[in-house]
Formats: sequence, C-alpha cells, structure tokens
Amino acid sequence: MSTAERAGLDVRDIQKQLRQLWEDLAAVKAEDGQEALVRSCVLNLLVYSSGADVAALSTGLAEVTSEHPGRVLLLLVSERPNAGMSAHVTAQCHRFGKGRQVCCEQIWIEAGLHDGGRLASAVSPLFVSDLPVVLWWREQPRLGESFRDLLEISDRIIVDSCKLNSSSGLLVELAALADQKSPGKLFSDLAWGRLSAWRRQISAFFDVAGFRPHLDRLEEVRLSAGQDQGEGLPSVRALLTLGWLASRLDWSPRRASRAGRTWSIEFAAGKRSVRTTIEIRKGDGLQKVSLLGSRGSDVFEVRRAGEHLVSEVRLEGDRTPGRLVRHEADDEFQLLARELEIMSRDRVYEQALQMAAKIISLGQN
Amino acid sequence: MSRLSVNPLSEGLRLERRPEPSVLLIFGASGDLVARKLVPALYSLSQQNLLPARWALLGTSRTDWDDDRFRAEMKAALEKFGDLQGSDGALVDEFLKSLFYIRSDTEDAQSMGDLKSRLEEVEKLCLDRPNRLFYLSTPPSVFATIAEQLKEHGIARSDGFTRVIVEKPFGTDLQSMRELNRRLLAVFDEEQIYRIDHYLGKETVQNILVMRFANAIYEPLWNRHYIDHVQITAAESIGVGKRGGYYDRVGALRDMIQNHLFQVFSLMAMEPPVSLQAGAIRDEKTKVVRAVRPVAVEEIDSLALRAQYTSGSIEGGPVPGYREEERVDPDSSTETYAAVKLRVDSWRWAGVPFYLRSAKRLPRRASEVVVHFKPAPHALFGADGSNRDTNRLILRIQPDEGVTVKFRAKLPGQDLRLRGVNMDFDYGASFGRKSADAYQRLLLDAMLGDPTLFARGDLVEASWELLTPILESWQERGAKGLAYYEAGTWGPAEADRWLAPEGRAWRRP
Repeated sequence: MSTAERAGLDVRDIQKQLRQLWEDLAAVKAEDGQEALVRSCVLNLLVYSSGADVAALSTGLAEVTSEHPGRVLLLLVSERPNAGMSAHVTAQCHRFGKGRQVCCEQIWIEAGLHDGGRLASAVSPLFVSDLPVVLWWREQPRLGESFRDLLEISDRIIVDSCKLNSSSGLLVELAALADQKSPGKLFSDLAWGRLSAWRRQISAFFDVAGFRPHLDRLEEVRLSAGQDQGEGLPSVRALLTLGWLASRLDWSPRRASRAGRTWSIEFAAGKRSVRTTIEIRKGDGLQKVSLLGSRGSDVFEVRRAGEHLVSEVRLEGDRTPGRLVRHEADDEFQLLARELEIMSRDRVYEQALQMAAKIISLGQN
Repeated sequence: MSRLSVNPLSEGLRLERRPEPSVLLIFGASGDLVARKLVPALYSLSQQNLLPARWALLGTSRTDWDDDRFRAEMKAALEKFGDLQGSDGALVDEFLKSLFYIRSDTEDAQSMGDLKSRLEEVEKLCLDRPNRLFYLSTPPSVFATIAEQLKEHGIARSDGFTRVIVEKPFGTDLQSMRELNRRLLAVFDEEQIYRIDHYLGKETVQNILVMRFANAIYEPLWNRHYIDHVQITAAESIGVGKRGGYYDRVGALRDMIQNHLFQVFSLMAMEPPVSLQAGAIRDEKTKVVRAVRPVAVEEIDSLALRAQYTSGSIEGGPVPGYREEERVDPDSSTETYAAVKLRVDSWRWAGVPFYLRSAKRLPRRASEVVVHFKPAPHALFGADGSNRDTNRLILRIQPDEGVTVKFRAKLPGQDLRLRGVNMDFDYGASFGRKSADAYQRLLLDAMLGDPTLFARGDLVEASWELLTPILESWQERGAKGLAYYEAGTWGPAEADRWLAPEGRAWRRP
C-alpha cells in the first residue's frame, strides 16, 4: 500500500509496486513449474465510484477484465472531507483451460470529494500508454468539475442513466454532452444496453417484409415500465425506447403531458399523428411495449414474462404466436463488458437520447 | 426503392447481421453431423438472437421419423453436445418448436412431392417470401442426385433466395470434382453454392486476414526478400477410428491438404484484396492457387512425400498400426502422412517454398502456420547469432489459438550471449471468451448470403489440378515408395531427409 502526502500520489512508487507485483507473480509461477504468466492489455478502465461495496466492485471488475484485459484505475471517492489521496495495487488473475493464467492489474486510488479537481492529474501518468481510456462513471452523474476533468482525459465515457434521481435535467444535460461531438469522444449508457433485447425483439417484427408497411400506419404506442428514476419522471428505459422508435421512424414530438402516473406524448409522423403513453407501474425496468395500428386491431407487442421476453402479433384479430427469448441480465458488470465490445460511436443511441431529452423538455414546458 | 425496403429499426442494433426469414432444409437429418454440430450450432445462434425473426428447420432423410421423434432426438443431442449454459427448458422447447421432419427418398417421385408440400407448409410459418437454404449432410455420392431431384420437383427455385450448402469432399480428384460441379451447376448458379470447409469458420483462420491486412508492420516483410519458407501443418494424434472405410479410400492428401490446408495457404499467400467483399477475397485466393507451379511427373518425389503409421504409442498407451485399424485393407497403401512443396510463381513468392503437411498419429494435435524468416544478412554475434534459430512468426490454429513471434534477445550478464525467446499472444486467454464454433459462423453466413468463408469452385478445381498428378502417381505405384513411421513420432525419417538438402527442417509443433 502506498499512501502519499495530501498533495497527490507518488506515481513512481505505484509504478514500482506494479513492477514488483508482476515479478512476484512470475516468480511464483516459475517455482510451481507452471506455464508462463500471460499479460494482455487492450484498454485503461477508469472507474469513478463511491467507496461503498468495494470488494464486490473489485470482483465485478475482475470479471470484466477477463473479457477485456487492461489496467483498471479504481477511483474510490468518499464523502469524508480532507481524506487525502492514497493508492495501492493488486492483480486479478483468471485461469483459462490447461492452467493458463491471465492477470490484470488494478490500481485503487482513494480520494476525498475535495480532491475532485486533482483526480485527473493524479491518474493521467498511470495510464498504459497508447491504449484507449474508458471512464465508467458508476455513480449518479454529477456533471461537476471532476466529471468534466476526467471526461477530458478519457476517450470514452460510460454512465448509467437509470441511476438518475429526481434531477430530470441531468438526462437533458447528458444529451447535450453527447451532442457536443467532441472529436474522438464516445458516449455510452448502460441503460441503453438494458434495452438491447427489447429493441431486437421489436425490430424483429419488421424483418418480415410483409409487416414493414405497418410501420407507416402506426397510430399508437403504449409502454409500461417500473419507476427507475425519481418520482414524477417517466422511466428512463421507456423514454429511451420511445426516443429510439421516434428517431428511427422520423417522428417529431409535438406535445407532452402528465396525468398521475401516465405520461402522454404526441408525435407528428408526416401528416399523421402518433399517440404514445408511458405508464409507470410497480416493478422495475421495461414491462411491455405495444405498437398499434388500424384503430387498435393490429398489434405488435413485446412483454416481459419472468426471465423471458415474449413477442406476439395480432392482425385483424388473428394471433401469430410470438417468439420467446431470454431477457438479458441486468448485472452492471455484464452490461459494462458488452459495452466495451464496441469502440465506435453509437449514433442510434445518441439520436434516441436526443429525442428522449426533447420529450422531457416538452413535458416541462 | 420503397422507404421501407429495409427495416428502419434494425439500424444500429448490435446484431446487424440478422438474416431474412428462411427455411433450412437438411438432407441426411438423422445423421451424426446434424446431431453433433448443426443443431447445437443453430441452437447457439438462436440463443444469441442471430437466427431470422421467422425461421424453421425441416429435416429429411430415409429414416422413418416424424416431427415429434426428430424433436426428441435433437433435444437429446442438445443435452449431449449443445451449450445450454444460461439456458432453460422453455428456451429449448421454443427452439424445438421450429424443427420439423419428413421422411423422403430422392429416388421416389411421390416422396419428393410430399417433401415439396411439407416444405411449402413450413414456409407459411415464415410469413414471407420463401427463402430456402438446403444443406446436403449426406454421403458425397448423392450430392448431385439430390440437387437434380430438387430441380425436377420444382424445389430448387423459389420467389426468394435458394442456396445450397455442400459438405466436403468436393470430388475425389480433378475429374470427379468437375463432374460434381457440372451437375450442381446445372441446377444452381455458382453464387448459390456454398462449399463448406469448417476450417475457414475457425476464428484463427479468419484472423490470418486481420493479421495480414490490418497491421502494416507485416506487409513490408511478406515477400521473398525476408521470408525463407512457410510451413503449414495439421497434425492429429488420433488414428482413423471408425472412419477406416472412408479414410482408406481417401488418404491424408485428399482428406486435409486439398481442402483445409490449401485454404490456409491461399490466405497466407494471397495479394491484398481491394475490399472485404466475398468476390474480392475469393478472386485473390484463387489467383495465388493458380500461380502455383504445376507438378511434372518426374518431379513428384521431390515435391511430395507420403507415409503410413505403424503401431506405436500415443500418450503412453499402445495404438495399432494403420493396417490393423478397423475397416482398413490389411495391404493398404493409403497415406496417413502427406507433405507437399508448393512453388508459387509470382513476384512476391518466387523462390519461397510453402510446405504443407498433414498426418495422423503424431504425438499431439496441432495445426499451425510457421513463417520462417531469412537470417540476418551478417552474423555479427558469432556462433550465437548463427543462422540457426531464425525469426519465426507462428500462427497457431488449434489448439491454443494464437500468435507467437520468435526473436532473439541478450541473456543477462557480462557476456554477449543470445537466446531465442517466444513472445506469445494467446487468443482465448487474451480475450477471455470462447470462440464461436465454426459451424455457427458458417451457417449464419450462408443464411446471410455471405460466401466469403466458403470454397469457390474455381479454387477447388485449381487445387485438384495441382494434386491430381501426385495422387495418380501414388495410386499407380501402390506401396512402392511409401514410407512408414511409428505412431507417436513426428513422421518418417524420409520426411526429414526430404527437407534436409534444402537446408531446412520441420518445426516440431
């Protein structure tokens, strides 16, 4: 463990600890007559988290780095004032068939909230050179100084907008941030990853060419979802789903209103109008998405049933049995691992987010 | 083009490669390949949501099964050979609902009519234009007959796409390959024929393209100026097992070199394609196979070598010799070890031989490509820096897929002593994820209409043109000139002597 003076971190000491760590691991291997240690590195993963639940966080990140090997810099920022910065290094090793072992290093940096402005300069010298820096902002996004500083030194930012609380302006701010089009900066959201299976199932209806014309005849979309952000706000997942549909189908939001636990949003789709509702129910996540046409007699529906998603088409009363697929896990580490598979800009997400922000803004006017 | 000619909701999905609704009609559906490989691969695709939104498998064979029996057999196959991790009974049952079966006999017109009716009935479930993918998982002797029957009964054409997947071997020599091709091409266009070679579905074989053409550091070295020779090896520790009857008619040259190793050779030696389009890649692969200098009869012994294993031991246990194997002719002269030397007449490769070898009953299973670089032009470091132990780039195809670069480094100490060291990249360990089974990739590509990883007729024909004189010579001479090696060794002494005059030696994988 290296604890530096309050002014900052002793980077040389951390680098020395890292070197020693690898030499010790290699020596153990050699003594045991095992195969050589394999070290791989494809990214720097910078994690901003509160100090809570550190053991689970470290284990979860080890799982992520088993798929995306790299150096993890874990920023544990506590509420305590004047806590000072300290660091120590650990290695997480994984076995792969025939005793091969791959190890990834984690550098834990503990800091206080007051250190926020100095975090970026503390971690920058610790990045593995020439590899992308991915910032996972694990907390409720606080678009303050530390967030913006860390954003500056990162190539990609991953947030979880499901963690938004009652401050509805944050989603709009995130949308603005993603829209800044800073060259080389990528923006991702675990909430979007949670919708992958839903989007695939909804999209799959219209892989059938015969169903595609129904998209131009949709009159109504109904979504129901659990409350995943503060009271008085529509579900982020429902908003992003609606934002996705609207942006893909060239709909423009006209007005939004709220009555009790139901949000109503009206879109212009060319010369038509499309009525949409988001109903907040008990439970969590998205629960049902129904696309309706022909005054409700044509229905394309995906709903959650326990661990599965079930899809169904009803046309003029004729029911076509739907497909049953697994509902993807909600585990944040699995979602993070999936996000790290893609290192390019997700414009479809960005457009969905912009649309969701427009809906919120309309609802607030 | 109509506004909705493509699905606007599919854009940006992380599974953009989802094929159109279709029916997969498998001939030989009661066979081993379907249970062991095809159905488990299809189930895995369904779990990754990669199958078409509307999809069905119609199995057929002479076996008298119905839908229920086929589903029960496939359920058992999934339990035995499938990856059911993260799955549950409901998802398996959902998948099995898409499986159908009808008994058929290609020699019986009534039966083929019934097959057509059943296919059309199943297609209605896909709610779209009839897209048909045929999979011929049958003995090669009936490939052409099935294709002709499909045409005769109006099954080979539809309003949607029709494609046919053909398992290897694609002929047994140049003449039989041409005959098979002629009969298949009388029914399907070349673009509709997908000759499956599961080697091409392996992640590390595809990685050859990435390594060569996504990394600028290799290209300047990838020629006669820096490369001395290339060895492509497919070694197996197993014998012929229960395939003795088949293998005895085929041998190592036909079974492995003509197809798998020629595909790997073409990827290693091809010129950069102008794009990743299937046509562009396959054109370059065919061009380089056509650039291989034909083998003259008098050169055969200097360009090809064959041997057969005798009894020995593998992993500490005794194993019989080839001629003692089940269903093998006791006087057989079939080669279980084959090596060929290819000379490529091109500016890039003039004077750089490619050695292809494949054998059974070697000490371990290993498939790899080894690029042997030329030694440094001046031996600055004396004996330690001699021409032995030159730089090598090793692409390990299986097992332990990955890349190794061999280079020299100074040993720590006051003396200037050099040692060869290996720098390893382990594909599985580095990315911590199991590669998809080759059949998953290839079945999906066939549904998508992407033939990049399938063998095109002209390349197959070019490879047979090169190898047929060798096969004819070996057949004519029988056991005369056949070398022998003890099972569990790295091949016959003749193989070492064959290479030694050129100042080269086989790498031991």
